[in-house]
Amino acid sequence: MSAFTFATAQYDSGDWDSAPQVPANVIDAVARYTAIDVNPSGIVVPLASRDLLRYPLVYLTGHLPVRLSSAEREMLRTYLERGGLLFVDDHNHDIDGQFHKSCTDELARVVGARLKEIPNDHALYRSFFTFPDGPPATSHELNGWGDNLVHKHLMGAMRGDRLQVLYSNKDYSSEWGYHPDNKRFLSIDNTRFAVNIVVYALTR
Amino acid sequence: MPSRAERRRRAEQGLRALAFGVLVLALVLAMRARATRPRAQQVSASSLEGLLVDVVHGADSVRLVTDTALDPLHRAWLAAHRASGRAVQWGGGPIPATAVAIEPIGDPAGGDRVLVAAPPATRLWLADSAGVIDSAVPASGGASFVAPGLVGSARAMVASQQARAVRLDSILPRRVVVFGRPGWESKFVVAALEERGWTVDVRLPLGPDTATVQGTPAQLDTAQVAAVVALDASADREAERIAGFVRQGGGLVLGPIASADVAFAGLRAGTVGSRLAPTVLEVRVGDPRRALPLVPVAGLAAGAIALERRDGTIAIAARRMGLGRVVQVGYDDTWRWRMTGPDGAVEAHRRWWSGLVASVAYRATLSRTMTVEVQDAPLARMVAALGPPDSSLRLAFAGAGANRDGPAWWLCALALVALVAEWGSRRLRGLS
Repeated sequence: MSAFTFATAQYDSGDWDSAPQVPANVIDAVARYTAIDVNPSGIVVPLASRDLLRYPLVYLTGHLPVRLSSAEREMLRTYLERGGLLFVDDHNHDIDGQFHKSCTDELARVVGARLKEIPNDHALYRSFFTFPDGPPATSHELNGWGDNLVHKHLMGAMRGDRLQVLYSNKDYSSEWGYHPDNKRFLSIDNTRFAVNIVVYALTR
Repeated sequence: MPSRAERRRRAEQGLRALAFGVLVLALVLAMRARATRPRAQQVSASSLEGLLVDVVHGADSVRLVTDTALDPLHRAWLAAHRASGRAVQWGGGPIPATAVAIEPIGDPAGGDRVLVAAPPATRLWLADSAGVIDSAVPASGGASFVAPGLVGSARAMVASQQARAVRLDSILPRRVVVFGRPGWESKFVVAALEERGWTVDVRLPLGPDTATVQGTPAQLDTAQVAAVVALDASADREAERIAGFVRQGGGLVLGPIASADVAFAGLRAGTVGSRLAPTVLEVRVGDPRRALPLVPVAGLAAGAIALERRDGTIAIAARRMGLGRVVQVGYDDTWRWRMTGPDGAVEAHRRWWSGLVASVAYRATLSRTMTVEVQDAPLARMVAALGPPDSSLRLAFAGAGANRDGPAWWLCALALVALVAEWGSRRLRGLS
């Protein structure tokens, strides 16, 4: 039985590698809190590559406009139809920003509908840790950059009763972008929600 | 010495006399045959209505020569005559021993398995009320068909013989319980079963005291649950309850990791061999499971059978245990089939997993009341109703036909030739 590998999507446009420390931090959190068999290193997988299908949870982030090639779009559509889960985080935390506008447009083209708000009582918020108020706020949402809003909901697209796209404007890419050793300085580990995302992906 | 004209005239008289004599002989033979014929009716299956009239008017016995089995109405009618003391014999051409049975598949997607018995190496056709479904030439005693949606009754046709059956029961739905570790295999097995229509209860342990739970996987009872899927060692704490569930009639699908767990040693269909790497790199349409790692079944347990082999090693095996059934699957990481396979892989993976579960699932059936007479095993039912066929009857029928029709035919031909020759001779002489 294969271990879980955290995969980051590489796409041709924009800055796909803007949060290089996130994978290690998420892997650390999963290993720290759960008994899930997890590979110690993440992997980068091109969005247009068939290798994408080997990683049913893929993380995608960036600051810059996202314009997917037709090959990327087609492979992503196949990936989602087969049961993959794409987790997208807007590194700008800006609902009026270029990443948000372009990426949500692209995702709507891939899944055939605009992303919708995910209710805050969704199973995602109870899959491991419990987040009764929905997605945990980040310290970056009110840092004076981006839209300077606390985003009440995550967004997503469903396939049946399963999430196939999870989209965040909360800038978890900044929130989780530090070396795992520094977690000891936090009173509450802010990567706990990452554990929920991984557990949800592996169990639903 | 008579003249040539005289000889010709005498020849004509001889021919006329011959024709007359032949006709008399034919008449005598016909009368003699009628006088010696027993008061029995020999009919073909196509003239049974005439037989009905004759029997009603007092025939002593009935002899039926046919190359097809009777329909239920005529069969029952002759059986009634037999029961009332009248001799009923039947025989004739070889009737193919055909039978058909329908059993609903325990798969939420529905469908029926149609089992057809037929003589080896004969072409058999399966049809329903909407038309022909499939055909086969069975090498042994029959064939099995999977029909997604039968319309009306199922008919199995072999030569001129037709067997017909209808569904007698339906499957009552039960849940499936999946035990496994959180991972892609568990996720996609659950997804495949749910997408196929199963209600799935799940327990996936995330830590010593934490688990993702869906439904009520703690209840293992055939009143609620049709089958358990144990994917890996995380199910070992449930092994004892699972064994009780299987003995009660439930089904168990054992994944390769669970099969290797000592807790399931008494349940598995065979010992576990060394893990084998995939034999091809990419999932292919024709043989998708070659691209999966395999933990083969090394040695079959007593009473177990191999269901699938890969390169000589047993990939899937099954056994009965108590009232239930166990299927041991050697393929691991089957999620790769769904995710990385060619077009159609999602549906194929879904169907395969659902088929595995359905093959062992507890079958709670809801019987239907039959309102129509079926013809599910025509020859067998005819033997049961009328006794075994009389092997001499076919010869007797042919012999009687020859005695009755043969002499009349050649005698009449002889008379005709004689009369034509006599008439021609007279015409050539200028006489009318």
